[in-house]
Amino acid sequence: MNEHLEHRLQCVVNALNVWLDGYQRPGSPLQRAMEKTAEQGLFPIQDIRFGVEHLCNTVLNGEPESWLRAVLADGFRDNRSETVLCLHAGNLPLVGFQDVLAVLLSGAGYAGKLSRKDPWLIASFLECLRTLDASIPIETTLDLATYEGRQFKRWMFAGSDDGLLRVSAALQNMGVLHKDAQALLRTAHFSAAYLSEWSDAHIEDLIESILRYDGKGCRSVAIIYAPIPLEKVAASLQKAGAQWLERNRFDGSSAPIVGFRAAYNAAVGIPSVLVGTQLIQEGVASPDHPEIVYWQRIKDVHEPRLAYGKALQEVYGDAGAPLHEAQRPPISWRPDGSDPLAWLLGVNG
Amino acid sequence: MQTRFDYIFHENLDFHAALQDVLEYQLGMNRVYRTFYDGVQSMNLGGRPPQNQDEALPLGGGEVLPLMPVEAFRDARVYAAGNHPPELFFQSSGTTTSVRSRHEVAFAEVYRTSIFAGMQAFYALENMVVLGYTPGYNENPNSSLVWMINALIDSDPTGLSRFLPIGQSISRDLLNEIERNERSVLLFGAAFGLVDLAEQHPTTLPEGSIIMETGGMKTYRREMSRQQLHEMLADGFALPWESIHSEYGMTELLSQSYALGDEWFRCPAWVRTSIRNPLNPVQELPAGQEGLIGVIDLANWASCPFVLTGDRGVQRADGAFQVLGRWSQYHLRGCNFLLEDGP
Repeated sequence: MNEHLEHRLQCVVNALNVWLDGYQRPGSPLQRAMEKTAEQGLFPIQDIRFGVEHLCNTVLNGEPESWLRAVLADGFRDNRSETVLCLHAGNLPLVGFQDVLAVLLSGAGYAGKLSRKDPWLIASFLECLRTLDASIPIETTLDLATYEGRQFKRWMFAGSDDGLLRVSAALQNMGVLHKDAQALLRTAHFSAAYLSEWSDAHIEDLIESILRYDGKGCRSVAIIYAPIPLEKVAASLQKAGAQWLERNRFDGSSAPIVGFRAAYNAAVGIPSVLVGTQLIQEGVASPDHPEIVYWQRIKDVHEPRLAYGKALQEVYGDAGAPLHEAQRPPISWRPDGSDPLAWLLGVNG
Repeated sequence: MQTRFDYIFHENLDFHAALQDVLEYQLGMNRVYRTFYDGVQSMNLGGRPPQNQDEALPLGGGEVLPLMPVEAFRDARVYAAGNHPPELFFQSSGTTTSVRSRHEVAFAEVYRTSIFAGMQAFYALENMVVLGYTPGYNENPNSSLVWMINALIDSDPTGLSRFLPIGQSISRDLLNEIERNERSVLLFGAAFGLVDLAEQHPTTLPEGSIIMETGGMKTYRREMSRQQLHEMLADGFALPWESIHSEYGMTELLSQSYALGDEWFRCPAWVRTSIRNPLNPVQELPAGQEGLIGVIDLANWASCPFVLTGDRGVQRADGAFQVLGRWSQYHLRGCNFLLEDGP
């Protein structure tokens, strides 16, 4: 590790410490950002707290340093003269925070287009960092036009394939990107749980993986593969879902599509059960709505990948990451199978 | 029973009255739709029968009649003709899912009437010879499209209508004979089959001929826009661009809509389309807003006439609609960066 990266690591770790130290302190920048996010109805306060607490458990445990050192073992490129553009989605609180850390740890400057749905949380961390070291190039905006003509040479995006085409064309037209700009593109949409042996011990993690963030994260479980029919565990799932709701939501009402789909399932004889705000159902799996989760009988552990390909982020369980990591990933997790820090440092991710 | 709803094909149809009549029949005879309908009511989602003539029109607004997802034809038996055995059985080709949709048609004559009355609303069939070019469909013995083209061919008194052999040019002798009979050609086919024909065997069709592409990318050789497709067909058959028409139909529906040389589909009098909110499909979306295409096809009275498709569309105030492709399956899940993500 060179001096530049060493210094950058220290700055980032210090800023994380200062920022997260404010979690329980009234009036701290983090507290204010959390309050504004919740007060404006952008995300439920319980999801915001969950995300921040998870950061406390990972980034304060030395994970950023371990991540950087592990990647650097393969050599690296010097990024100190470069600023990387990050486009943040707004589907859940702090989404894209991993990209922020990756860019900063790589030694590059950070230019972010924050989401109007999550404008406070990431910004409050960056403000802490700026206060500690004003020399680190950091820019944020809510409006891409701010970056018109900047000709960024590298950019990071998470979204859908359709969206990517539109975004890429718009960025080129505005001169935001250099014509040869390199992109780290992530387009996975959901995850699956493959549980070849059913145990009631799975239920708590399963509920968390489904209900947290209302199913909107790409790490959220949209399909459950299990060896037993849904009806055998429907009552247990329903009970656990109700308990989760009690702890995590003030308003536990479901989206209209849940009632619509429940009515359809009843009509055509597809077993389904309301779990918290979501509907878990059997039938042909087509993970179109975050509120609908599919229950499938296990066949082959490779089936999820074969069936859903690039749309699938993780397959938890037997052959993949532990189910309890669904909403608690390590800081070095790989969206779409790519390590963003390795990509930024020019080593094989 | 077969003639119970024959009046839906008559001129001056009172669509609202017919809809109420068919709805009442469905609620009595279609257990699947009845259960769905009652379920939607009990969920308090707002679905209800239209209350007046305005609401039965395409853009009545508000919360309207529940349309059953088209997957019902895959997931259950959707049949409303009691003990009368189905006279026809159609099955989708299964290109998008391994489980195929099935449509049991109680009365062949109802389908036949719908085909002819629907086409005659837009085309002077008596002056046309129907040619079918359907690679990909021919392997499906239960294709509703092939049945439809066959019905049109059989009705031609000149005997010139026919299916074309796959991979061969259209016979010059046949085209000359068609011209001698002072007729034009109505060439039916799946879009990409027609492209192959146009590219490999270009020809000049008689004046006034129409190419009817039925969608359906049965041969996934390449991707092209609808405009490119139509230009290629116009060039290949020496026809003006306006002569390239499109048909919107599916295994699950007995009626078709037609785009007559532009991208806007119009439906016959006994069909109404609407654009439904994908997040709450009992809500209709206003003109200009994209959503799921919903179809009320009264000719489907003996299976299910109230169908929510999986197609993305947009509608004009006059009821004409565009088909924008399949509803993007996964985009509501996972990260979705938007250029304009709200105020």
